[in-house]
Amino acid sequence: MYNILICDDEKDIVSALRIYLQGEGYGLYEAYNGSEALKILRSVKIHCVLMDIMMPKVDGISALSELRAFTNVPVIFLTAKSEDVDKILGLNLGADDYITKPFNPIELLARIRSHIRRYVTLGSLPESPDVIRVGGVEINDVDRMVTVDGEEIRLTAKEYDILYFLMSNAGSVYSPSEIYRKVWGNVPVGVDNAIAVHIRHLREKIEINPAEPRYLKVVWGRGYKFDKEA
Amino acid sequence: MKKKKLTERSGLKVFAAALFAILFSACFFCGILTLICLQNNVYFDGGDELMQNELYSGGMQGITYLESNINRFETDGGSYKALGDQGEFEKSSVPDGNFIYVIKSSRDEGGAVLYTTGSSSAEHTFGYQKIVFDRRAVIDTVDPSDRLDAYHGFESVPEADVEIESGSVDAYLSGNLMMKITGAGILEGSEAEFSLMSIDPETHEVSYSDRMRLFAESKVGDILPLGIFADNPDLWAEDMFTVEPKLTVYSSDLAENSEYQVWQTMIGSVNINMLTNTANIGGKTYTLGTEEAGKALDDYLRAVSLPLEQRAALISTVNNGLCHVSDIYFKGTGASGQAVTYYIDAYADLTPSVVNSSMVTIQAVRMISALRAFFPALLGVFGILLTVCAVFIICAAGRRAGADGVYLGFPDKIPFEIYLALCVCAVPLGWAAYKYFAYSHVFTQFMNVRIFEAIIGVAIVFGIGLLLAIVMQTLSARLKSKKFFKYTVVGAVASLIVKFFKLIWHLISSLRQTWITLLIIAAYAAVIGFGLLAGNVYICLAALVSASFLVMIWSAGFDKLRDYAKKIRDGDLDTSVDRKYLFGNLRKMADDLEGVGGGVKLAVDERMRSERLKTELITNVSHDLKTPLTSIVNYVDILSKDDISDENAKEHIGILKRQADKMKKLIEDLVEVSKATSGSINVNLERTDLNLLITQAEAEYQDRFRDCGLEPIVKVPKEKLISELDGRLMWRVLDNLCSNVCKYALSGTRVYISAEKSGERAIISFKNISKSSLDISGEDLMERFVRGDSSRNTEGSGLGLSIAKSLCDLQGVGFNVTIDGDLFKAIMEINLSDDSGLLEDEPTDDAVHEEQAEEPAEEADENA
Repeated sequence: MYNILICDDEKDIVSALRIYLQGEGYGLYEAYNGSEALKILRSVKIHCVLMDIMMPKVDGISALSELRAFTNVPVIFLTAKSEDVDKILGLNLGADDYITKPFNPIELLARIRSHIRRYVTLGSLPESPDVIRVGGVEINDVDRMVTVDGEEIRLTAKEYDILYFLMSNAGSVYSPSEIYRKVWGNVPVGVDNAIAVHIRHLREKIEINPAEPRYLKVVWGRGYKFDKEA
Repeated sequence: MKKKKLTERSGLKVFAAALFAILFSACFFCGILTLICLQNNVYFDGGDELMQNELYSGGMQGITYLESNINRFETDGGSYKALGDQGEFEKSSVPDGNFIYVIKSSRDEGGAVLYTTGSSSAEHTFGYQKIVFDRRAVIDTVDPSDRLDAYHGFESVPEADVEIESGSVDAYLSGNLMMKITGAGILEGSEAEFSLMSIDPETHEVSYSDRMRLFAESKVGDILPLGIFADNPDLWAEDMFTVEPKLTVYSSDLAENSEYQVWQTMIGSVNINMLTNTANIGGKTYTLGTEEAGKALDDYLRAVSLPLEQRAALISTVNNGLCHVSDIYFKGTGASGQAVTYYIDAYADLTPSVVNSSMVTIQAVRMISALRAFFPALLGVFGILLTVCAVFIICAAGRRAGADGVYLGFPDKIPFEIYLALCVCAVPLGWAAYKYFAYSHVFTQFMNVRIFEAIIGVAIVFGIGLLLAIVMQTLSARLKSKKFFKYTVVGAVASLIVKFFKLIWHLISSLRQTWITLLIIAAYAAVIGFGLLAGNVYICLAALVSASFLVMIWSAGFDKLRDYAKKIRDGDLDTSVDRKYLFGNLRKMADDLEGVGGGVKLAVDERMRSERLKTELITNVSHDLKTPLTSIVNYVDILSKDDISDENAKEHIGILKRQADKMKKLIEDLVEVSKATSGSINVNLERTDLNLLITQAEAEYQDRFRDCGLEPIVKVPKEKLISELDGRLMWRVLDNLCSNVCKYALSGTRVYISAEKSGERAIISFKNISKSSLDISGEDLMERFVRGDSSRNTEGSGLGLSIAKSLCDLQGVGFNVTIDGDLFKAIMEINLSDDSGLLEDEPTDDAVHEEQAEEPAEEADENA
């Protein structure tokens, strides 16, 4: 059984989260400020932390930098601050994810699941050079199998080729023409739309929230990329 | 309380000024004494027995005694006693048949010589006026070579004869002593001075008096009363019993420069030049007062035989140099051309009245003599103290407790010219004081000093010292404050003149440019006219050249202003105008323009600030709204999952859920729109492929369009449309437009999304048929919270178009909405990059790598 620490000064939100998470069979610990959370983290083995940023006493940012000193447990910020700056700050400080309030409970649960799975299986490096892993996405070129957080995903042949191409060049931006040339091996003529649709389908398959993708990102007006740091 | 510094104590300053004046006076007198000592360094030593310094002190009373009693005693020797002086006298004869009485005072170094003629009724005292005495006290004649008081400027009258008529003691005592003018030498305006000594027969009290008689309109043969004098009784001792009238006659007609004519004299073969302070003895020239001169004279005198008085005069003069203390006879020329023998006697009257003060003089002289070695030392000490005092005054000038910088007091605000004038006045005064003290024997002959004069002299010296101290103080304060000219008449006048010219300049510069130009043209016309009239072509040329120059400068300034105005128009508000070459009204115009720029800048800044504050407010409020909203959304969600049998409740929960979602969307849009309008969104302009962007957006919305029953028709040109845009922001614009289409387009219609090139611009348009009729203009539709349907029942915040427009504005993209019946059109006008179209569908490897482009390349190759 995995343990989850919920940390939010808003008691109502904590209990709502409890209702959601209990149904999933997690062990739950609750804290109402940063220092309580740190106390629990020091005494209990926790597999995932949900933390608000704006809290009394010790806020989420300081609690994060403090807990990073002794554990690399996945931390998901759950906050009403939706500015880009806040997100970047949180992620830079070592948060694993950032979910803004009001959140979609289904997405939240999916993300928690994803993080726990990655946290627990972390350390098992790809066995062969044919296996590429970026974040929670793993692609095995030998049996042409793709897993996201350990779960197998079914892809069409072209989707697989596109994903493989982008993953093996993770971090770089490619225009649809380039992707087409690489994957189809043909001279691209009016393929933008086709590629765009393929990418969208791919996204729907591997992303938890396709509208806010973590891996397969659209670089508007320039192309697509597989984000290296997921 | 802070302790005052030494230099800040005003009392100390006053004391320092006074001390300075005192030290200055001390230096002055020490200097004079030093000079006197240097000049007269032989004076006190004597050298010849005859010229003992105390000639007149020690032997004085002996002379007086003999004078008084010579006829009575007819003696060859004896003793005398009078007025604290006593001694013996001895008669000896000299070659010319006269006699010398050598008087030996019992006092130290005392002694005198009385030189007499052979006759018993006429005696001549050496160094003294010749007066004839007899038992009857009749004054017979006055010696033609009578004395001249050098520094009183009187000349003796050679031929004056005055006879005392009824000159008996009885007559005198009865008040009938009369004087008869017998000679012809008494001129109008001449004076007769006579001294009368009397003794009261009963009380034996002696009276003595000096009197002057002015012979204003007297003629020869006049008999004038001498009067009775019975005052001043305290001088004579009881052993003086003789009435001794004596008479000295002066004349005041000595020419003014006679004093200088007499400075050269010849005695024997010794030539003394008082002007060069030299004596020629035996063909050799010596400086007066030196040892060599004394020795040479000694040898000379041994070899020749000279009258005793001349001998004495020579010794005195040669030994003493420019001596005012010695007696000397010499010949000169009077104002009326007659030959005059002058007799300079610095001791002045040796009448009994001054004998006592003569004693004092001797003591003072002795003291000065003893101290003379110290005068230079004293001068040095006082000089050092004076310097210290001056340094203090200069340092302390302008200091005052609690005052920052240099403080100027009342004395520092008096025009400096007044001080200057005082200093100028002080120069002759100081010179006069110097002459008075240096030459009038104040220090050697107190008997001659008139107390009042001396006090004035000292006061002048002290005053000059004080003036110097004050001038020094105020001058250094003024120089320190660097406002030297502020408190001078010159400075005040100069500043007035400057003010006047400023006023004129102000008047001229306040004229309108037209008038100024007119004035300048008139001036030039005058100059050129003058040049033409004078026929001087160079004047005209110079005028033309300078006029062209003026016009050039003015035009340059005008251009500068124009450039600046253009900058302001273009929104560059941070610049200012370079004022070089700008003058007069152009400069004023520059000020005005800068004022305009500054005002606009202020307004813009203020606007930006308020927008930012508004954004912050909205952000904060939305944050506070989101927290409770989260709970609402979550619990509604939890409720909706519960097994609720009541259909109504289920429906209500559904409504709650929908409204909560709508509220969430509203809050997000609100934050978005406020950020977009206030410009607090970072814009990263990058080369963006518009065709691709549209395709990507369409792909995102493909399913939703289909769900809404809409058929998208996308038209993009073959050529690439590349523009500098922020892809993320542009996607949000397209996102909003597409989502609007989904919300408001009539189901079953087509949606046209197209991009086309129009000159240097790309036009992207969205066209769709509205679900409801639109009786609203495109402009209004872009306002915040405005929706096509006024009922506001549909989903959406009414902020979508507003956000889109703001985001477009941020990127410099034109955004416009038009409505034509039910046709809704959103049009974006985008500036294309210059090299648009060059970027063909060619290369692959130099694809734009966003981050760490080099690293993934190898992986790609392996897995290909």
